[in-house]
Amino acid sequence: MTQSRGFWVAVVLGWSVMTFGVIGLFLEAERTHPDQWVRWFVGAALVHDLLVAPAVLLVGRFAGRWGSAVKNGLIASAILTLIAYPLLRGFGRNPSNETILPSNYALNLALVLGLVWALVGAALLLARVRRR
Amino acid sequence: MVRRATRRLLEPPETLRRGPFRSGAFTSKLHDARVASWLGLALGVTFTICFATGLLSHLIQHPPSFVTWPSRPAGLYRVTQGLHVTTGLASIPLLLAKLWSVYPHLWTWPPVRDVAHLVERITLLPLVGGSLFLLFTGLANISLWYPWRFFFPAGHYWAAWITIGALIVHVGAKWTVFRTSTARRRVAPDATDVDRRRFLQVIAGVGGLVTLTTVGQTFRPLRRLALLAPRRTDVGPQGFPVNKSAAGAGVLPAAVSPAYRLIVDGNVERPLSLSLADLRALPQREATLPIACVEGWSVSKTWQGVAVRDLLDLAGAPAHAEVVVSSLQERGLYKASVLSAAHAADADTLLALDVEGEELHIDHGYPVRLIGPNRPGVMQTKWVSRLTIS
Repeated sequence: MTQSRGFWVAVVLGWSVMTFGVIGLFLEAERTHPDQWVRWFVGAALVHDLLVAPAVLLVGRFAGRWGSAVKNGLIASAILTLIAYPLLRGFGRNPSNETILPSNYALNLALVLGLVWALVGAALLLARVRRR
Repeated sequence: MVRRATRRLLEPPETLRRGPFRSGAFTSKLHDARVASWLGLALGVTFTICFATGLLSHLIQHPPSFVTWPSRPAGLYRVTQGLHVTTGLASIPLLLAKLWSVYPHLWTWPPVRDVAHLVERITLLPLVGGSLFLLFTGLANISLWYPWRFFFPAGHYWAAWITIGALIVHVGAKWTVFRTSTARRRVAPDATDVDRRRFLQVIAGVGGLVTLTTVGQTFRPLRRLALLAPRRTDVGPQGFPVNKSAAGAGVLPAAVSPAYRLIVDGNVERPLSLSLADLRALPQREATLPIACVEGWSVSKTWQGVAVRDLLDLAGAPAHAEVVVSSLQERGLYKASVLSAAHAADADTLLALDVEGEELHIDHGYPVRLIGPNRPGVMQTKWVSRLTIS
């Protein structure tokens, strides 16, 4: 597929904006620590592409025979757990400030996941009723 | 140039076509251009909102000479920053779903077709790396988790420019694909289409659930649902959260010393040195203002204290004066903040002594804290010890 002229306009514009970002990053090096920053920036893509996605692929192979309701329940649960991870582990907790992460996040996540699986159950039930 | 750039490159040898490079290596029906396009559209919207609100927050905290941020409407920053964090959180399921929908393209064969394709693919590293970096560092930051050495606001800010630049290239590269794959189709949807539609509904549902269980940290009516929010607006000394405690800021014992004085100096006719009793003897004003943290929580309170502009009048400061408000804190980037002329002149910009009729708790900035309309929480300096007028 050949790209239009519009693509090259976007390339020039986008790469200019990116160059601005890279220059800013290095000008503020004492705060951005570019060597470490790059590790997190590239590392994020590598961890996703070489670890997370293959892991999902692997689970998907096993989940092949499960219904779509269960698969969707798994997808929702995985994403919600990922988002709640920093809360669950409580990395940011600080003995001098108890207003940071004040809730029982294990319980709260269980409640949210409970709702997700209640919906999965309802979908399975509905499908069974419809089949009859 | 265009013709040169679209000339086909050399084909790599077929023997390298193994593993994920094989045709048919990926079987999920969700690896689909239509799914990717709708998710891409949603992410285009959320990333634009995040970029605009984030840039705004940056400019408020580091104002260039040609921008003046107004002191009104008082709750504007609360809304823009709440939107930034809420939209960022809702982007997490969207991004993960999007990356899944396009994952086989990472192993496309041949890896590079022509120069245009090469440019497009190279730009995917800053796009994917940047998007994941922004959402991960943002998620960690709102729960005050810092597993890296760089300063979060600076690292996040420059990553945002790089990511948005890559997004511009990506939109240019995918415009035609997007138009074709989202076009209305005449054929009736089959079972696969139903599965894909259901997947998008689930992702939208997860985004909605994340929003519902976090937005209560800034949106009062939903505060009871804030199960996954890093803050609760009713938890803390005097019933609301604290970002930096007095012990953490190292302002003890100076903040509770009877020798405490508020100094007003700089470009004034009568420099002042006021004890806490002196401040209480001055006319007290009241204002209901939100404290709106950059981390996305906010809460509105009624504050009582001395208006900054009354102090400026008392000291004989010039009209349109700018004020540097300094804290007893000796270290840290947030030990001082600047009140622009507009903020200094606003009648609701207070040096608060009380909140909700009670003397300020030490963690909320006793003896004196700054509270003004339409300002980020980090610029509402606590334990104020000096106003320097310029």
